[in-house]
Amino acid sequence: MQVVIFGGFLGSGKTSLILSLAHHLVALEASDEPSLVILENEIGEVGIDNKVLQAGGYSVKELFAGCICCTLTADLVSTLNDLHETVNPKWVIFEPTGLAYPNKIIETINQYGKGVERIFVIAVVDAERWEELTEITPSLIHGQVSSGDLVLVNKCDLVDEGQLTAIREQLREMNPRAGILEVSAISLDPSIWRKIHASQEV
Amino acid sequence: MHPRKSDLEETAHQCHPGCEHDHEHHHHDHHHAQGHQPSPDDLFHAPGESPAVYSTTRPVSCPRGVAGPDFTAAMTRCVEKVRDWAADHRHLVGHIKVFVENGKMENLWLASTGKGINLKTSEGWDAGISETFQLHFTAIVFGTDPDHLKTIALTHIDRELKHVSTGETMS
Repeated sequence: MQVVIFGGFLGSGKTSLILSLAHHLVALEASDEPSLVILENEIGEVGIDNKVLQAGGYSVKELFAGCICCTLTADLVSTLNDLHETVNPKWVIFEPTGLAYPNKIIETINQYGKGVERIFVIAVVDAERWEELTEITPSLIHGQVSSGDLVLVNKCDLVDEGQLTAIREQLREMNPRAGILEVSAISLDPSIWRKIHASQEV
Repeated sequence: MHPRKSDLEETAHQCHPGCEHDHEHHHHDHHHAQGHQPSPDDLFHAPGESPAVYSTTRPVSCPRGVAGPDFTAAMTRCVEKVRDWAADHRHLVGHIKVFVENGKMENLWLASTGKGINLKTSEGWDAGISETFQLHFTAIVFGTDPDHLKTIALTHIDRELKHVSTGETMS
């Protein structure tokens, strides 16, 4: 199984991007075998994102044993291991809460996950709220960005070029190793996933 | 020393290394931020900034039938009202999300982070008229308390649902 983790603050657009990536991966595999499972960990008694993804026709599992700040759960590990032993999909996409630190999740999967060939972390940042969030929640935003193998600057259509340049510079300081792509989930060019697939083996 | 896998499986909740919370968690606590009370520094390095969360699911019966666009307009107003309340009180919106199903595999999805409102509908939603809906609503807001958020959200949800289902408005 290849695990793709989407980190990023609340409202950054993770679910919309996951819908697009899921569509790409399912089309790519074009197999009768189950190739993709999405794991959702949401804040609140009522899951919304899981319903959106299920409505898109995807297999979605909700994880419940997590609190807003920690996310590391027995449920994640047991769900991954159960998937490995039963469905064994080629791809698992995990959307943690918008308050999660992906590096903690990676540590857990690396320690306890079975059948995980590769973990790829996509950090999603909200260009429209970048200045606000980096001021209010610098530690969390830094933690989410620095964990990314790829950083997607979402909602780039809502800011001007000067703002995008500033965001890029800050992102590069936070995470020099990651690729950075500017996207807009509402009008996303799905070819970005092909580029990622080709260059990063995602 | 790291916990053994069996330790993880036997424990309902595991915090990340270094988490120093006083843990008496059970599943039902996890979706109520105030029940857990993490250290604010764990979240934002901004004292007092742990979010209030309110979420609800409810069936909506509209015997006379409601067109998709009318339900969309009602839920958009609801999200706008909660968003504007947060802005008026300088609260940070984590997100406000609404998902509505009409029982015909058609749905409406609204989301806001305190600025614009993103709206998506499935094929058929705008053309359909339905008598029953299932509404799912979640708001995560920093700077207020859960009871206040619940009161605000319920006020606007109830107002819009009454309006859309009966044509009446609540004062």
